[in-house]
Amino acid sequence: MLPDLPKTKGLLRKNFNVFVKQRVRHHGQLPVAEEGYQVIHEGEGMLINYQDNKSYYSPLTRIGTGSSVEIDKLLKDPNVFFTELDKMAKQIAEQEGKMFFETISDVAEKFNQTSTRKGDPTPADILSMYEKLSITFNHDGTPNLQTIFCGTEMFEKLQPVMEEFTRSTEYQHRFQQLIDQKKQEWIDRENNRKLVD
Amino acid sequence: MIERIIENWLINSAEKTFQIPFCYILANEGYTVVHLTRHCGMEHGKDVIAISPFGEICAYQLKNSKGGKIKLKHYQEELLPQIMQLVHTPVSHPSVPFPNDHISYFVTNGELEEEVFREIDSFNKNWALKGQPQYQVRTILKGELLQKALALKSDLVPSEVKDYKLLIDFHLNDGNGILEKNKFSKLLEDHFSRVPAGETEAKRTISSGALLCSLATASYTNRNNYVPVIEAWTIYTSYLLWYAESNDLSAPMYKNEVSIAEEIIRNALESLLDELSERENYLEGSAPEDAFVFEFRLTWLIGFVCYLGLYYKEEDLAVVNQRVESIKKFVEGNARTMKVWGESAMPCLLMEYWFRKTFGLDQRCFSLKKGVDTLIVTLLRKEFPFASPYEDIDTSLANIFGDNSLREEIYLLKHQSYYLRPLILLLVREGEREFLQSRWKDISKIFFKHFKPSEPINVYRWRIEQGEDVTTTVNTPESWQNLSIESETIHTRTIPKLLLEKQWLLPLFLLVFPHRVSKEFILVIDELLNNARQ
Repeated sequence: MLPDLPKTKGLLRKNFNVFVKQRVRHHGQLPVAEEGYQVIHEGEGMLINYQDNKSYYSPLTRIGTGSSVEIDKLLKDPNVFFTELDKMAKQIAEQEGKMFFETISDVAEKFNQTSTRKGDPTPADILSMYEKLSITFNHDGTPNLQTIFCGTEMFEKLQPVMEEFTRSTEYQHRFQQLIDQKKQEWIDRENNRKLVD
Repeated sequence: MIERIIENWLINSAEKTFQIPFCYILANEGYTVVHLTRHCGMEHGKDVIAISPFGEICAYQLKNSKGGKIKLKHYQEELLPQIMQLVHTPVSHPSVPFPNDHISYFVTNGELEEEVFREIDSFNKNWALKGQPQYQVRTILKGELLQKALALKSDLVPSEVKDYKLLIDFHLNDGNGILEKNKFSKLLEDHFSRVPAGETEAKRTISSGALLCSLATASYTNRNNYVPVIEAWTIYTSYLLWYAESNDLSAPMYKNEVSIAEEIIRNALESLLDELSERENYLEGSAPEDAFVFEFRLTWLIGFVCYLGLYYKEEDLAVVNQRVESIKKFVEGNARTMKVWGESAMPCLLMEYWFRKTFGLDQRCFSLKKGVDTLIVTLLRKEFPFASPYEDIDTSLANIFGDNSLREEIYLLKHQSYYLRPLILLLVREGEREFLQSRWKDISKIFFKHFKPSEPINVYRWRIEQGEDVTTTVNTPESWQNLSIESETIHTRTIPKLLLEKQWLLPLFLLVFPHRVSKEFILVIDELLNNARQ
């Protein structure tokens, strides 16, 4: 055989991995893409115990993809490999996204946080959605409102509803009342961070 | 290949290096090893004392031939006085209650010159003529030693090529750094994963595992780099107990081998303490870089020497008092500068706390409080994640000093902790309500973590596939009364049976396997230490 170059190739392999991870985050467009990654070294799942004796178990799921590059193409232009890596990263990001929403959906169902009303969305649904959420607030009193994720079909339906929700003084008034209520709940939660008898 | 490694290691070993596998070779042959020396000047020429399967007391003196033959001058000037001591001084050891005549062995990893053979022969004949054949000395030389080591070889063949590579990597290591516990455990896990066909095979697997451990750690032993040696033999003991418990072996099958490992660990800890007591400073290697990191290393070392203090708690204080005083001096002189590199440093703080408590030193909760404050400060800041107990000191420090590439590979914590809950429970046991109350707002923002193996027996292993990473949210508000009840509720069900029996091992296991922490584990250790003092 010909002598291999293990150090250099090890470094290149590491760079390929870094590239894939960066592209996965680029294609992902999920909140987890920024901060939600964590390396864990053992086990087959994660269990979260909440203080009201509720718990949620999430098994670890393997995601992955494969690709092949023709040697001739690679010989002509090694950078073609990065194009393949980018395709793989996109597939991984899609799988991650699918898994993310499936998990969210599973948790939401388990903790009764879903809406079962049929038909198109209404401004009342927007309000109802925020009612179900626990909201935190910044030091200046502004709420940390959650990002809304939806599919393209729902997005088209939701846009005019959101506009109506923003325009309507009645809904804005009710929304402000809700935010005030959520703020009080948050203050109560923060005040409960104490050690009592 | 394995023959070459064993031979090369045997020829090039100092006596303290081949002493360890020599003990396991004896154990494999049915001997009970009752003592092995640390090579200090009080052993009367006896490095190893063992009782043969026929009840004979055997004393061994081990000598390194430095790769060649022992010459007559060296024998007469240096070795003969020690051999006289070996032969004529009675064995004095609590496990040998009657001063029986012992059989003396001179063991070397080299050869003897012809003249030395003749000297020993005439030495033996003289005593036989005087009617005192018990004063004869027998020899075990390189060839016989190698043959005995190779008898274990068939059980030592690594199961995969990559394990060969691992063993060779360890063997060729310069011995200056830390033990790569992940790789080392892999080597031992593969070795101890075999299901024994019978008792003989099980016994051989245990002894050959020790030989494997000796081979892999020879470079550290030769450099007097004690911490990796302590860690390696702790991991060996853990896998030995896993093997024994998994295969339901009877205690006589492995008791002697565990005792030898315990003795090796104790010797290395005492040597470490001696070195620390003699040093003018604690820098190691290149000073300009080390100046930034030595205080972290010092925290690690405080953990080990405080463990030694805890180990001594069951012994006659009159015998170990000088060493306990040395530990106190070292701890009092350095505890204030302890620096935490990640959650794998937390067991060191716990050892310091338990040492202070056991020996009645002032400000015993200092380390517990430092641990809580460090966790609050580091875990609540967003920009700088803290290394989990899964990451060793070197990796965690590289993270602290800005190696961003590591962040893709290592387990970092944000708003989560494996150690915060156990530390809180110990402070509750100490009645430190005011301290906890003043910090509870911050504490309540951190999630408590622990890993729950599917079966307690897997606790012995470095990595476990079957199990759950458990996260628990803090109650808001939390009640002091509930915490008090929790801190006094001691469950042992998550700790494997044999580990619980080997009480001396429990705190050391935590130092070497910091990721196996759980509130149960910490409370059990605390309770055992409390009971030991009463």
